[in-house]
Amino acid sequence: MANFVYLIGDKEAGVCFVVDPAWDIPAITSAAQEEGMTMRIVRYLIISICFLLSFVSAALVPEANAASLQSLRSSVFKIIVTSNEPSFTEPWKRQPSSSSNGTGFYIGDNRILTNAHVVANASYIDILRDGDAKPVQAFVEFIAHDSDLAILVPSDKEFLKKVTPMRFGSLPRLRSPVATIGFPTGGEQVSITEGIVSRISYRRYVHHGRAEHLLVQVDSAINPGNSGGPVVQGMRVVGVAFQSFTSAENTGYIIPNPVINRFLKDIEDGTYDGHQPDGISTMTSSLVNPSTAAYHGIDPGAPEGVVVTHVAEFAPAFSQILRSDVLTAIDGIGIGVDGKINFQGERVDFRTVYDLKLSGETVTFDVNRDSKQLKISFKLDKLKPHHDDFNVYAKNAKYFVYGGLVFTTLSRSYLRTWGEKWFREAPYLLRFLDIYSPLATDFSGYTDFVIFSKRLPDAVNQHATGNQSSIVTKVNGKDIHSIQSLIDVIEGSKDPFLIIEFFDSNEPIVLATEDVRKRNQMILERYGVSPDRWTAGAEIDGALTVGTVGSSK
Amino acid sequence: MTLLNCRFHLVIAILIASYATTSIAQKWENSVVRIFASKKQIDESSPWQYEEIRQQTYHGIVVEGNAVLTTAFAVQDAVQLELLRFGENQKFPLTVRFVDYESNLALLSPEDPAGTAGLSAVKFVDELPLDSTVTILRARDNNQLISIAATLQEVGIHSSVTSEYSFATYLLKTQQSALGWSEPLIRSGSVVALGSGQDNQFFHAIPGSIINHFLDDYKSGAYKGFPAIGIQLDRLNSPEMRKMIGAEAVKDGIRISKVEPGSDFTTLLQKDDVLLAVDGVRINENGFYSHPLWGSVHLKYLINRRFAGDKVKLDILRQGKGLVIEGQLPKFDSNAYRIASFRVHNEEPHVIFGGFVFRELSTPFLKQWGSDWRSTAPYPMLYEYSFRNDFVVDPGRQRIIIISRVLADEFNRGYDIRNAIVTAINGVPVQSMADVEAALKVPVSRSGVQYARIVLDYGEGEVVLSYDKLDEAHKRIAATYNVPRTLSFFSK
Repeated sequence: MANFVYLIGDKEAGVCFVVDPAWDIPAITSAAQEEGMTMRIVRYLIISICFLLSFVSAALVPEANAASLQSLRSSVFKIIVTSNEPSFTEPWKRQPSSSSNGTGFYIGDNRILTNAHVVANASYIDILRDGDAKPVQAFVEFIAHDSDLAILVPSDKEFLKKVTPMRFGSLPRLRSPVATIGFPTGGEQVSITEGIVSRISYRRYVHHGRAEHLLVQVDSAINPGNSGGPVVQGMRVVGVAFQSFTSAENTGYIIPNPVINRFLKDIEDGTYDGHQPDGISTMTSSLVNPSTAAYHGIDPGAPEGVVVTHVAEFAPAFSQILRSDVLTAIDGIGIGVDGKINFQGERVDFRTVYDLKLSGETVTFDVNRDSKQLKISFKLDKLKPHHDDFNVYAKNAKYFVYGGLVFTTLSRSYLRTWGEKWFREAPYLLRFLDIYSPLATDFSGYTDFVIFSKRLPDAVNQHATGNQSSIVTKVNGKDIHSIQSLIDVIEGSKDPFLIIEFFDSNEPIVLATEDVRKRNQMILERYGVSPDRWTAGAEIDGALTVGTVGSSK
Repeated sequence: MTLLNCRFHLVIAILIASYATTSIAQKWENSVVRIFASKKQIDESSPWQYEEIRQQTYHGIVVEGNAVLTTAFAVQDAVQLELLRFGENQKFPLTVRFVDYESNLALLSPEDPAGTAGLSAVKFVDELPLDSTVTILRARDNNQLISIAATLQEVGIHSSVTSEYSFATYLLKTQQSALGWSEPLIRSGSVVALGSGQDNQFFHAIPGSIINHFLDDYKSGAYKGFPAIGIQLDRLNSPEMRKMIGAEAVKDGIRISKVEPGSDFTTLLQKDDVLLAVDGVRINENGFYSHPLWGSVHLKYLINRRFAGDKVKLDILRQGKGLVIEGQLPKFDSNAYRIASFRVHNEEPHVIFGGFVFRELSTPFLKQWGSDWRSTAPYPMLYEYSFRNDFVVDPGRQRIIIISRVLADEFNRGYDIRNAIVTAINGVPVQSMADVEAALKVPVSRSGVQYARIVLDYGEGEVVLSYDKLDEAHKRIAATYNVPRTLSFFSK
């Protein structure tokens, strides 16, 4: 029986690793010397062995190739950000700027990958390589708020020339070890945290607040500053560290490669189109009931699939997939009664398949409808506009100020202006709509929920004291279903009065059209409102960008 | 240490206050009694059973005709009521003569006339001037009456804990907390009000005028009840609005923003009418009129003082034209909205089908979510409560049906439904428990098998169950969950 010892080295960098140095250290060092390594290198080697023993034993890196710790370290960057969020209560203003930092890593092509939340609303970005003294300015090239990923490019094109791009691996397996590399707060140097993959699931990404994607849970803490750092298995990146669970210690979440790959593919054409919510609500586990299964034409002995409870009007599935349909497979992959599928060896929500598709790709569902089996295919076309039921990172909130009345639109970011307990303290109609708007028939056709958020006092609006935080339904009898329709109706009105009606009150606001028109400019000037409107949505991102702007809903 | 000191001072202060006023209170021990109520409240999660019996103590005051007056809140859910006189040990069982949950008042009498024998009946003073100092009479555990000082700060229009009817309510300032157990309020030797609750700012009490209305109505032999016009009002202080609805000629009057169905006024009044006067009393742009003792009071009090069925004359301005309208005031009924606000009988109608518990959405059901239920109850239910809780002409047939829970059994395997709103059963929309039973009797059929198909609202999906082996399932569920077989279950 022979014992093998592997020496893996990089002559250029002058570093080598030893794998499984179980015996005969002098023989290993001489072998290293034969490869032309000096004593200095051997000393380093011994230090490396100590490091590697713990690293290798924990991380089982048989495939570790020519990459070395030194080159890996030099591919990881500290990202220092000054950000400037818009105000959601006075949307023409910005909140005081704040600074924060995160991590990013080089993926080739002059691009550094990091989290969207690290650089969201960034007004200035510096990147700093481990060991360097001088940071270099960078810009956002692409930002994906739905999957919390962003691409940065340094202003100095030479800066990344000599850096080795990190390479991607596969989806990590359950219980396999991983290491997170980053710059967590509390120190200047790069830090490596080890952990074990404890769960692979399909869950909410908190930066977006609504979108759900595949994610991997590890049992090591991800601390502020770690965000955007590579998570490696051996020398391969298997994910990006991005969020942690504040109520549970030592739980970190990483964005796994399938989601990163989708992002990189999406931006290939120069714009980021984003993930598409499927808009299909389902009821899990009801088909374990034999009579329910039999009713739907499913074999009660081997039940499969989930029952559709609702399809949102804005989604391409609308009118393709119907309520009460049973979805039994997606792209030929069988869906269990729990709504899960086999995906690269793990059980995850069937939506994972849909979620990883690009705009324009086709999805096929096997459907049982009225006991008949159908195959239904449709393209993931652009969603119909619907209200922003997520956190907004656009340059500004949508708004319009007229006659001292401030109108804005409902979004998760607006709800957050009620503070940390917004989900208890914000007006409950707004909280209801945040969750149930696709299901609320009273609001079908609304692409924005226009809210009367504030009154800037003036003689012309002195009686408009009620209805704050209420939803505008009509102006002069015309439906208001977006901020643009509000502007059009108000500015185009030839009636003597502007009658603004609200959903949750019988008391309209009535303004004298001519009086308001005359005083409008003066009110805007007095309160420093400029511009008086912002109707662009996510297409103009809040982060500093370079070249083509990619953004997402 | 500091904290301890504070508490100590507080105790002393209360003791001094009590002793200083015991003598005033003592003479009222001849009219005031304590009421011991045993409350049996419906278990909202399992409506065929009741929660643990709770004992609560209230106050009552003897009125004409050997009767004891207290709040409706005191008798709500009570299975046993007893009277205890001050300085005595013997409790006398009470029977409920009459309850009006709308005005939160109830009339009791002892089964044995000896219960009130020798006690003297009181009369209530209608109205109390603002800023009056009053005495709250409150029983102590040693069966003595003590007095607590309070001042009348405001007269507001509020609804009580038992209903949605809003009526004039005294709002008083006092140092004492934990009040609101039907305490009588005294001023210069007369009874002026009955305590009904306390929030963090005020002690609430039902004014003598409302109590006399209730007593006189009861005495008449045919209780008519408290009325409402059945309109919603919005203040009219915007000159632009005034111009728009043609009310520039006057400076006062309030805008009518909605007219409810079911009364004379449904057709007589219109949205955007301006209400200028009620029975000749001018109403200002905020809906208030000038009251000699209370200053500005909401016009609702003018209606509070009338009886259901009375005629009332309204001066109206409609697009600049003056009109006088006369109509009969309808009785206000809190339960005439889609979501009922109290249970008339202490029982909850429900139907169990295959373990699914069907019920009507009601305010007592929503109150499970605690004192801040208006914010914490399930959003779809709150949405229904706030925006779809219309006044309806036939409330018994226009309720919101829910599945409150599923009693887990192999029959309903796979379904974990809680607090879901039901829209239809077997293709038929359901709006009452009678609808539920009727719809369940007509199964849908597929491939020769009979199924019940229950469709839920707000994306909650649907339930499909076969009628096969339903009886066996009901037998098992009855045994497992201790549900009475005859009352609760659906049967064909």
